Amino acid sequence: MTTNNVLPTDSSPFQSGAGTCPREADLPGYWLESLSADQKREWERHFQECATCRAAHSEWEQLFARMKIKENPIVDLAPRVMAKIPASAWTQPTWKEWISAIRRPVLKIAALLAVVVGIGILAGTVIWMSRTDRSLVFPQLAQKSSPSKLRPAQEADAGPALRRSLDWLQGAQEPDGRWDAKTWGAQPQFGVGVSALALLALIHKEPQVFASPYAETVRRGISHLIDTMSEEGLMGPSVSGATYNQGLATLAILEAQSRESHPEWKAAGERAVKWLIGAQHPDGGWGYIAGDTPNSSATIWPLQALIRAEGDGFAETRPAVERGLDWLAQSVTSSGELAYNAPQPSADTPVTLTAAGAVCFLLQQHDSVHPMARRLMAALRRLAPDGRMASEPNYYRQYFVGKAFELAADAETVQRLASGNNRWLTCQVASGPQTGSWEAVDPWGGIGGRVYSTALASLALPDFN
Amino acid sequence: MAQIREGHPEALECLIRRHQQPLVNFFRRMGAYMDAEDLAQETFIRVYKYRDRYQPTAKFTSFLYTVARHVWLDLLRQSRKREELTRRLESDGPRSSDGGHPAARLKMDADGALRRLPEKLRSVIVLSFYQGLKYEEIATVLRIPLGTVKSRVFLALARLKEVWHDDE
Repeated sequence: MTTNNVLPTDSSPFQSGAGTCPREADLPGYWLESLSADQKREWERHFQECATCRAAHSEWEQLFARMKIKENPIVDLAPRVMAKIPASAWTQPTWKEWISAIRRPVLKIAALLAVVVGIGILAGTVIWMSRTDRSLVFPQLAQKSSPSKLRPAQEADAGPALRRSLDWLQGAQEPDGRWDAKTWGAQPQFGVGVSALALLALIHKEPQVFASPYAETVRRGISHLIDTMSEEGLMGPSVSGATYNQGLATLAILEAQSRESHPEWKAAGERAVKWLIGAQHPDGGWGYIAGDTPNSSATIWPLQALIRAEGDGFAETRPAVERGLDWLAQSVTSSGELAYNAPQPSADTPVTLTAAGAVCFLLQQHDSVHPMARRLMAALRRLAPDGRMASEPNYYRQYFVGKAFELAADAETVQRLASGNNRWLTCQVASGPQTGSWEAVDPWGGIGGRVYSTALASLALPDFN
Repeated sequence: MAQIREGHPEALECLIRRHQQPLVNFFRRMGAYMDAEDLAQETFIRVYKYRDRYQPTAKFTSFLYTVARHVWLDLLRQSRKREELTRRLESDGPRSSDGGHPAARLKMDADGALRRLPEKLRSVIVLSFYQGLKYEEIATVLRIPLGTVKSRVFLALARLKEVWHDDE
């Protein structure tokens, strides 16, 4: 087949329709344009009446399905681009700022004087200015006095940022209690997980949440999670990743139930815990779905939920917790980091997994710190000395590292993690309709979207004073 | 963009991380599979360079893809690179025979079919179907009337159908 640049002259290439329809050329817009509900209904009515468009509709649908492409991930371009822009460029004024400065009265006078002195001197001045650090000539241009629309990293009190985050989460909830995955850029199978994360952020970060303005939001959210529960106790679809949904949602229900008791929440928590125990691999860990080969990433949320359940008096969880912790312990490398699974060290996320593993062991309510917690914390202090990590935003890592240091009672490091010039702190939207939310720019933003990002960033921020 | 103009490097970093994957995908769909990341990098540098030209009233994606389109056209204008590119269009991208995931075959098929479209038709289909731009935005990016966008979309889809039909 050869196809040169000759465009087809036949504007109706679909032969299966009966005759032609003037609207056929607009039909791709049915898929490609964001149509309102009314516009969609209008098309649906047209399909009923028009055999040509009905037939074309079916063929277009097949074509669009075939055009889908699974994209390969890319490397982060930010460091490469930033390296190409000299640091000094950020402190130099733009041409608009130059014009603005010249319009100022004092400088107008200077400009007039320059005209009086003569074109030659003016030209010389211009040449001199172009070769000189402009901030020395117009120091006011170097002072960026207008407030940033991103949250400044140096803000001493993180309270306002946390309040804006929680307010955004509250506003993003649907009337039926869920946080919609598609609306906020999450993969649809993780709708339960992102809703649970939003609930955990509200429950953990708002003291006395059920006496706060978020009370109804949380109650509605918990009811939604329970509504999604199957007879077996699974919340969300039975797909790869179901254990993330279930671990998070179970934890949210248990945390809510511990603060405001409802018989239906308690019953739902028991069923959810039962599902988690049933989904545990005989080796002790959890995979992405019930019975799947375990890995530490999928294990940490179910395990935290069971540890929480045990603290709430669910007696039957102890053996499952012990087997889960044993499995995690077997996945710790000789250097003390938590691997993805025992024989396969994690290349990209040793900090996050090590911190998450430490959290699981530190949550154990014993008189003394679990030896494995000490080992993982020692590795974490080596991987992230004083909380210092790679600078790119990673809300997930930030949360677990902060939580681990918090449970290890290292207040100084916790404070350092959420202050200073940490770049993740600058990714909160400070104006426009999404004010308070956090940009989905971390490695998991493409999976969890804006709700995940905002919930994890909220959890990683210091508590209200 | 306002924060970038105010001199906040972290704002540019956030912007890059938000748009880099779709932008790289744009260049891949246009046909520059191996060069896609370099072209996306160049686009972000130009976005920074031309930050004063962005009108806050316009959608940022329109501005971004206008810049990206110029980067792409600059590449095409370099005749030496064009010859090299032509060779790559024939050889780039994963092959269906690589024994990989079934999705790899689908990917190659769609990429291969796109490469058979004339550049003008490929642009509208990449911007609409793959990048999710509305027709009005595409008209802004390509500087063509809205009606032309519609007709090119229709022709591009018809051509894709022909390509696949002939391939079977």
